Amino acid sequence: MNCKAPLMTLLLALAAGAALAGPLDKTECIAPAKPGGGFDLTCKLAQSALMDGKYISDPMRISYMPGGIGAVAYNTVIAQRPAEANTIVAFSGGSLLNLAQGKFGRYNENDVRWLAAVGSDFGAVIVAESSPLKSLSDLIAAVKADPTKVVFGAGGTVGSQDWMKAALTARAAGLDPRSMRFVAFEGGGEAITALQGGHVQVYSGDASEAEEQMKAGAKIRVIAVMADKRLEGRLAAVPTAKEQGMDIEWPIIRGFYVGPKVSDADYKVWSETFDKMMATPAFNKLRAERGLFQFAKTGADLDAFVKQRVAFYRTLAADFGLNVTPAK
Amino acid sequence: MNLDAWHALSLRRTLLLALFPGLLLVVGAELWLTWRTAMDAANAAYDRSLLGAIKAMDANVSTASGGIGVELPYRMLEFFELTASGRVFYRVATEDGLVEIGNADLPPPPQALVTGQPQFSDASYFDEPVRVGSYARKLDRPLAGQAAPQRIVIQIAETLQSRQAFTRTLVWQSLARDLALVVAATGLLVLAVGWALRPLARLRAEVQARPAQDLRPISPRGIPADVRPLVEAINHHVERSRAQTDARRRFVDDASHQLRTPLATLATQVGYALRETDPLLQHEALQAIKSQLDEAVRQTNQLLALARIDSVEPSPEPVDLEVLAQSVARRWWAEARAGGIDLGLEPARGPVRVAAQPALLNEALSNLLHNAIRYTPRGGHVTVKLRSAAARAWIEVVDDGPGIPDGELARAGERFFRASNVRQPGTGLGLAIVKSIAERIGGRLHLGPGPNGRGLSAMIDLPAADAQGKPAPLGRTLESQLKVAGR
Repeated sequence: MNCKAPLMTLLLALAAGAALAGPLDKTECIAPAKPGGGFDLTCKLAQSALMDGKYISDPMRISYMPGGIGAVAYNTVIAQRPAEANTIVAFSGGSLLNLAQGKFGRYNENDVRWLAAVGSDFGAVIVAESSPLKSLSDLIAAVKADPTKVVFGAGGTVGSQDWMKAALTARAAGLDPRSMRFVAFEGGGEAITALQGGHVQVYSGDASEAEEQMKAGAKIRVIAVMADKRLEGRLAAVPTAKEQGMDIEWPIIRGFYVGPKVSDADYKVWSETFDKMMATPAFNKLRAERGLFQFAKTGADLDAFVKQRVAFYRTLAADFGLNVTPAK
Repeated sequence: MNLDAWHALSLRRTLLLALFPGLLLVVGAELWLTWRTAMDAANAAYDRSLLGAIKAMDANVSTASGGIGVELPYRMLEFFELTASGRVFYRVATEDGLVEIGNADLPPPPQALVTGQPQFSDASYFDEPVRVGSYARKLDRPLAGQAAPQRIVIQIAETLQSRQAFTRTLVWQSLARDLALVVAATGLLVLAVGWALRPLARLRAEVQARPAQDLRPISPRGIPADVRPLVEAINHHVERSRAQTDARRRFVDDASHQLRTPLATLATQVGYALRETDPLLQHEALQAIKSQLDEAVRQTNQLLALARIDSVEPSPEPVDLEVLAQSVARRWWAEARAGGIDLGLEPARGPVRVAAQPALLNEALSNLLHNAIRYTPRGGHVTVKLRSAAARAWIEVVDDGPGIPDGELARAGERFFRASNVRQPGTGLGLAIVKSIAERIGGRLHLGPGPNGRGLSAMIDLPAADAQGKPAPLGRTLESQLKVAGR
């Protein structure tokens, strides 16, 4: 009897601890870039939607871990923080493209638990507000005239999704993507800063981050969106690439993953929370405010979608002569 | 190449042709060196600022977030582009390839980077030559779950406009300096050659202005040392040809002077003989004519001999004096006996060789013997003595005849000089011939009283020859030799 009392106390304490340290307590969202890009935007959507819907009690912390457009964060989470149940990491279609090319080091798409896709985005061709380039044909003409005078900014290096968007545009115009000048940045925020500073002339980024930056007062102009039809809201006036004679669509999903050793229970808590939250009109409003379109998937559904997407990117990258990792 | 044709060019042209391309070659080499030095200097200076930019970039790399953040120093890069007056490219990457920022396709450093040691290399980026500075360091902490901190590589590249401008300026300056040098050197050369050749022009004017008869030596004063041997050689040549001309004139003078008298005498004698009717007296007159003719023939022969000596070209060959003396003495043996004179030969202790023309030496010794035998009274002695010592050889003819009075010794050997104490007929040419021959073959004739102050000693002093018959180097003269002997 004597020894049962301390055991009970320990069990009680553990239960209380478990209740205290649930996956939704002291949550953190890692944006694997510098502030101001698409990852930041994704984290901010989760932060405000979770808080507004009272799914969490403390405000979600957003931390920035730049490095290789998600590569450093992907490696860090798998190697060092694989079981942190209250940490979610933002990802995008670009992350999946990089995974397909092995740019995330020795890990592949099976090494994390894909949690939720919260919206979709489209590629956009962005220039500085003062730029003489008003359309895709202006851009193509300028590149043809002197490729050294038109430097493309990109979040990530050759093979990244920003590069891929520019490369698709170039290929549609009959140019060799390899002849274009590229400067890689640590995410879209940096690229838009460089665009305004005149250090690069074009940025092939995403519509949502462009909209977000314009809201914040950035002096930039979107000359094309890579969607099947015109976007709503602020970018409604921007013609699609298809309208300008180039059949390029570049949808981007945005969402979150968690570490590989997060327990099924915690993973379930997270995915059910996202399911619930994404079904609310409040979330849809917040999502639309961020310039994202409806695209909600969680759990096994998302996992299957991610694998299928990575497989597609492998073929695309191989098509451009880039290195790809074999599927597993 | 025809070197003779080359040498026939004027000195000025030769010097310019040789020196001008030479100078250009030197200038070319110097320019190449300048260019290399300037390149090195430009690289040293501009690589330093490249390293500065790399360090500034490095200072903006942060791993505080757990990821890796690079705050791009745009302001710095802009200033850097201004100073490079071209374009600047950069690349920041981790070696594991996870992070890649900037111009990902910048050419990698040619050698493996050593941590903390910058490496600079020339490369081409999008067909434009660039200078790339590369630098690697370990991150402050391991990134993305690595066991050890990985290395981050920072590369900054700039186009070469500033470096090339710098190098070009230096090379242009050097080129201008070198060209000025070439022009100055060429100008100085032209002036110096002109100035150096002026004495020659003066010399030419001087020689051209001379009258034909003026055969005085050209003064070598103010003539460049290089040309002086030429002037001296010409002087020597002129002097020789003057001596020959003199000799010929002398011959003509001598001949006209010497032949006129015997011919006049002969004419008188012939006239006398024709008028004489007495056959006995006529025979006497013819005898006198015969002896006068004999004398004239001898005189003519001697004159011709003298003229030959003056004009003959020296071509010496080895002569054994003893053999020569014996053969000459043998020829005069009969005459000496007829005169009741004891003719002796006193050879030297060893063989005596000289380099001379044997015919001339023969003539000289014959003349001396002829004189000695003619003037020495019956019962007298004539001795030929040979001696040699220290590269000299002496051939001496001593008699105990009347000799030559002391006061007249100095004049003996002049043409047509006859001592006052002789009555025998003679031409006064014998000793002159000997003296000429002695001088012709590089020796001298010494005349003096014979032993015990009686008679005459006529001695030819000659340079001895070595075994090969070459003239020995000039040794001491007879005077110094005698001085040594008399001590």
